[in-house]
Amino acid sequence: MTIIDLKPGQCGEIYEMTLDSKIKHKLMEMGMTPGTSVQFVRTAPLGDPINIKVRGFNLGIRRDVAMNITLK
Amino acid sequence: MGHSYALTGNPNSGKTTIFNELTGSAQYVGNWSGVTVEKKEGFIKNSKINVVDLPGIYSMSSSSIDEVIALEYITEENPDGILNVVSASNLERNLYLTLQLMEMKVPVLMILNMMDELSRKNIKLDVDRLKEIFDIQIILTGQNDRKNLSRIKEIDLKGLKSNFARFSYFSKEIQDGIREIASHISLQTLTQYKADPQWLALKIMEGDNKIIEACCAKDAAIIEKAKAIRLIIEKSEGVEFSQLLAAQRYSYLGEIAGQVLIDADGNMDRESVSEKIDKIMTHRILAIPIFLGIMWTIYYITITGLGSKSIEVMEWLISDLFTGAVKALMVTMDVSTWLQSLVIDGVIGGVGAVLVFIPQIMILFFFISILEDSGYMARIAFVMDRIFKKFGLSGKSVIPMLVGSGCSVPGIMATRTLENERDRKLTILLTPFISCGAKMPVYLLFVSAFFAANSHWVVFSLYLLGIVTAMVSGVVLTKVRYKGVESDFILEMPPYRVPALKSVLLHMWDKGKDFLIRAGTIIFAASVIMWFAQSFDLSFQMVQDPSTSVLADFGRLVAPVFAPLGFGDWITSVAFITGFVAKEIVISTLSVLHGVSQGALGSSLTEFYTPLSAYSFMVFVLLASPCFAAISVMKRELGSWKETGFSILYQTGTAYLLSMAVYQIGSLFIK
Ligand SMILES: Nc1nc2c(ncn2[C@@H]2O[C@H](COP(=O)(O)OP(=O)(O)OP(=O)(O)O)[C@@H](O)[C@H]2O)c(=O)[nH]1
Ligand SMILES: [Mg+2]
Repeated sequence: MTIIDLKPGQCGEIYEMTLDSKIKHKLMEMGMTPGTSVQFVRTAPLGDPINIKVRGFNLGIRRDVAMNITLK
Repeated sequence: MGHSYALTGNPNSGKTTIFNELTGSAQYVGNWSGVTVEKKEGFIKNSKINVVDLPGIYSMSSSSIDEVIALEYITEENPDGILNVVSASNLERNLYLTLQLMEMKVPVLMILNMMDELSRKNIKLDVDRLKEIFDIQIILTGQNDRKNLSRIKEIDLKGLKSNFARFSYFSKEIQDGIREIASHISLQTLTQYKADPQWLALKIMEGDNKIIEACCAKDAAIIEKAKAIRLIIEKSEGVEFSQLLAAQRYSYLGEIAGQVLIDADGNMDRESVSEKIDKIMTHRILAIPIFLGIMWTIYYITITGLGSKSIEVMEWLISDLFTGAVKALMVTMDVSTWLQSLVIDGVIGGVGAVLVFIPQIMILFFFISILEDSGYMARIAFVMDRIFKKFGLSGKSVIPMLVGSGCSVPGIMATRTLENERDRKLTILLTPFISCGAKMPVYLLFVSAFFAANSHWVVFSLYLLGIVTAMVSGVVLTKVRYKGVESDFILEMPPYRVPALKSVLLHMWDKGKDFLIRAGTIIFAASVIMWFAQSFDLSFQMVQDPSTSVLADFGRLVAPVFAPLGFGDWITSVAFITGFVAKEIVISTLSVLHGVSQGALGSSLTEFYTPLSAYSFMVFVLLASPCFAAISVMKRELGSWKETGFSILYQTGTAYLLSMAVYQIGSLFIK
């Protein structure tokens, strides 16, 4: 299961991010480390990007990135 | 005394707000990440302490230009201390940077900002515990409560020491590695590169090329050793070293947050007001209509609502009151007629033509300032990303463009936050297509003369044309010139905040002042030059009819070039050329060369243009090369004349082709 499989409002716990090391590092430094709870807030009107919430703040990331963040 | 401190913290944590409070400056504050893109210095009021406001950073690694500026300042300029601004309403992530600063073992004073937001969320913070953990002093502050900041003057940061257990949150292997490498760093390196050995060891292990290059490029042994340790750790953990560090730091921060944050209602994740607003603003169906509606309303109020009143008042002030008084004065003083003409037709005509529109420019900036300060900007970027992606850009390019709708200069500067070099260059080139405040007076003059019935629609159409041109250019240019990898899109969306009236008014006044200064300097000078050039012929004889002047000769030389766009007269050619200096000069030029007062300029224009050629005129002004100020910023940000030259040619070429298309195709249908 990945972030985009969540329903709006639902939370999940990050298991692994299979991403390019640069963006992965950046997301981790913003607090998206394994075990962190993420909430899927909503999708943008045109279907991409998506709004997620981690450690109390809102973040916009693209769908193709979210698709590679698997949850426990 | 005579210390120098650096203000550092996460983007949007309130550094500039605090800098302004401390120094009494008026640097721009806005509610999105990446407002400050260059370092700004100032002295704390009534002291010799220098503070430097830096762009925000999430961590000690960086990718965009603004972040590099902040990082280099902290690691290379050796400030006497760091004022770490931490947003209390976003504690864990803000403390990530604090941890990294503590790892450097430099003097840190924490400024815990946004305490008001925390209490609004009904969360309590155990400040004593936080102090205890980091073993540092903490200054609490929030909106409307900045009195604690005065304590900074009383604390000598240079003398601060902390016994914070840095690195204790890393696994044993990493800690051992740090100690091992640190013990091998030569004394020479340490004296040359003033840094803490253990921090240096960690950086070498991480493989931070910049620091390795600066401190110990020649010491191959230590680099090898650090690399070996790193590889062993990476192998046993199966994770990249730097990611391992991040994960371990955050797990420690999670513990800290658990200890210091006490949620009064036991419901930390309840929906905030901001999230409720977002339900509407980023709603699937409503979001885009809302955005267009907001932009339309801004232009409607600026142009028709408040604007037309302000023009009437200004015209009365300048044409009737001021010009009348000056004329009467000169007549009583028996001033020669040519000097009268210089003052009335040249100076007052030229400068006045611009002054008339200054209230409207300020109204526009008032609204842009509200957009920037409310937090809506980031939402526009979020909503528009999909469209921008189609056109070869990222949603983050929206922010420079929106800032550019006030003025291209800060818009171009704002591209520093774009990490991707290709995106940045392209956005710099495209931002001037977005109509700026200085172009607005030109439209206002023309729409009131030619399209009085639906003036705001015409202006809005120009605004849209600018956006469409930027978008289509994005597609074309990514295909032919700016090839390269697509960018990532990671965008923080800050909570909505009620714009502080003081900072909105200050911003508006600041921009209005810029235009007033320009009116008093370059526009004044240009008007005087223009008056002389239209008053004399090649043999320096004063002419009766301006159309026999040097300027007219020159204008006629260029005029054929513009004939396909709908105007073959010398005045328009001169106006376009002076427009390269500053956009508002276009109307000063028209005013001086038509030789009529502000009120009459509109009707004088109707003799020269048809509504179609008037529209073509506005299209050219909208899209052609930006003004000198923007060109020089473009040159600085692009770093090369070649790129800058290409941009100017591309913009002017596009302007030419599109105005020609408007005029030629329009001619087929009209008349
Ligand atoms: N509620 C609240 N808002 C604040 C406070 N301090 C600053 N703000 C708002 O937070 C936003 C960001 O403030 P800035 O001072 O621009 O933040 P910055 O850290 O300089 O941001 P960057 O330059 O982008 O890194 C603005 O909208 C401020 O009005 C505070 O104590 N409480
Ligand atoms: Mg700032």
